[in-house]
Amino acid sequence: MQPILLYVDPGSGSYLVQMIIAGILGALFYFRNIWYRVKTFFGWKKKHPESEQDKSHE
Amino acid sequence: MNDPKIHPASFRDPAGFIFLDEGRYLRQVNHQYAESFERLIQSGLYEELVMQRWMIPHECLYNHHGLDENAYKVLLPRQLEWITYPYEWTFDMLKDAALLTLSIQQSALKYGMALKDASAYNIQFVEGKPVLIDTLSFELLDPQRPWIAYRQFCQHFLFPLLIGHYKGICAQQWLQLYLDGLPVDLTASLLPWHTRFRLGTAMHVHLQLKYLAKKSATPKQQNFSLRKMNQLTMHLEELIQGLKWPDKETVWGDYYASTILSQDYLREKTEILENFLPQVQAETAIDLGANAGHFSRILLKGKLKVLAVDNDHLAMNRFYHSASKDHPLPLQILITDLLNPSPGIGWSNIERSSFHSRFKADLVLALALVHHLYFAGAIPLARILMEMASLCSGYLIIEFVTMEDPKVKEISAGKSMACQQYSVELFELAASPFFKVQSKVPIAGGNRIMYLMKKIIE
Repeated sequence: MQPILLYVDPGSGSYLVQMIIAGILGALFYFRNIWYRVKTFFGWKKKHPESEQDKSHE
Repeated sequence: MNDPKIHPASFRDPAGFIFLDEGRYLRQVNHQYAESFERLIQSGLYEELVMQRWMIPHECLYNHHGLDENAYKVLLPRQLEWITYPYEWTFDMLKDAALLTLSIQQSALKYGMALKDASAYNIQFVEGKPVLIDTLSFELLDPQRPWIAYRQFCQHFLFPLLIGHYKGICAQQWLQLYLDGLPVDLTASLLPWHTRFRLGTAMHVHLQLKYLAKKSATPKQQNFSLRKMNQLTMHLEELIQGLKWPDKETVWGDYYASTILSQDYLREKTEILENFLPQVQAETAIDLGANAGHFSRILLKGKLKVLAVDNDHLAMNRFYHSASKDHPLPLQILITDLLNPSPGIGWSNIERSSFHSRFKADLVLALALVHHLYFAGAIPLARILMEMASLCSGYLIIEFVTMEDPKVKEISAGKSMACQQYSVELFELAASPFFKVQSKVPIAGGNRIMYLMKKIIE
C-alpha cells in the first residue's frame, strides 16, 4: 500500500526525467562494465564500479 | 496541531514531529509511520546507520504517550548542541552532507527502504561531521517508482555545488532565499555553456529543466527498478565527488600568513590567549572572525566546545577541511556576516531561527575584529560591545587595535570623523556597562591590546 506522502508532491519528483536518465545510465554502466572487464582481462587492475558500495562519504 | 511545544520546523511530515518536553527534544512517531519505522529498526538499517555514525541514535521512551492520540512511539534522540543551516555551511560541508545523503540512500536500498526526502536540513554537523537527524526520513522501497526525493536532492545539494564548482560562487548562501533549494532554471542559466555537453550536468540540470515544463511529468507506466535506483545514486555520487571549490584567493583567505603583521604577533597573541584561558570558567566558546581557525584550535585544546564564525568562505572551508581530518572535535563551523547575521526565515519567520536566537556561549573571542566592524561596518563602539554582551554569558576576550597600528591607519584613511570617536578610552568606556576588565595586555609594540573581560551579570 502506498503511503500518503502529502507533503512531498509525487508529481514533482521529476519522475519522467529520472526514467530517461536511468536509461542513459543503464547504457553507460553497461559499456563501462565491459570496458572494465577488458581492462581486468589485460591485467590493468581496476575495481568493478558497481561493487564500490562501501566508499566513505568524505 | 498548533501545540506550542512542537518545534517550529517540524510540522510538515505526517509521519511524526519533534517537540519540546521538559527541556529535551523528543520525537513522536505517528501510527501511520509504524510499518516503516518497524522496518527501519527490524531490518538492521537503523543499526548500520548508527554504527557508521551516519545517523543520530535514539532511545525509545516506552512510558511517554506523546502529545496526542496519533502517537505510536516516542523517541529521545541524541540532543544537538548547536544548529547550523545549509546556507551557513562551506562548500565542502555541503558536499560532505550531499555524499552522506547518497551513502545513506545506498544503505537504505540494501534493506528495502529509501529516503523519502533529501533535504539539506535533515543533516546537521556533530563533532565536525555531517549526520542525518531525521529518523523518519525512510520509506518502504517501491522499486517501480523513481526516487521521490531526487528533485529535492538536486535543488538542495547538487545545484549549489555545481554553481560553486563552475563559477566559484558561494551559491549555498542562496538557500536562505530559496527554502526548498535552488531551482533548476536558475542553475541552468548560470552554468557555462559547455555543461550541456558533459553527461552529468546535461542530464541532471539541462534535461531536467527541459522536462520540468512538461505538464504530464508523471509517466503512467513507471518501470524503474532497484538497479536503476542504484545506478542513479552512484552516478550522483561520482558527479559530486568530482566537484571542488576553485582555489581563488579571497580578501581574507590568507590573512594571517600574508598580512603586514609578523609571526611574532601571532605567537604573542597565542601566548596571551593561552594565559587567559585558565582564568576563564567556560565550557562553550564562540570565535568571532575565526578565519583559518588558528585561535579556535587553541580553544579546542583548552577543552572548550567551539563555534567558529567568519564570513570568509575560503578560510573557513580550509579550516573545515583540515579540522575534519582530525578525530571528532567539538567544533561547529558557521559562515555568516556579523554585520548581517542569518535572519529568522521560513514559515512565520521562525522555522529556521536567527543567528542570535541560536547562539550564546560562556566565552566569546573577538580578535582582530573590532576595528573592522567600526571602520568598515560603521558600527559605533557601544553597539559592538552590546553585541558581544548578547552573545556572551560569561567572559569576553577581545582585541583592540589602536589608531597607531598600520592596519587601522590603512582602513581608516579618509574617515577623520570616525577616527575621532575611536580610542582606547572610548573603547573601555563602551565596554563598561556590560563588562569588567580583568586583564589588559598590550602587544605588537603597544599598537594592539588584548583584554580579558568578565560580563557584569544584571
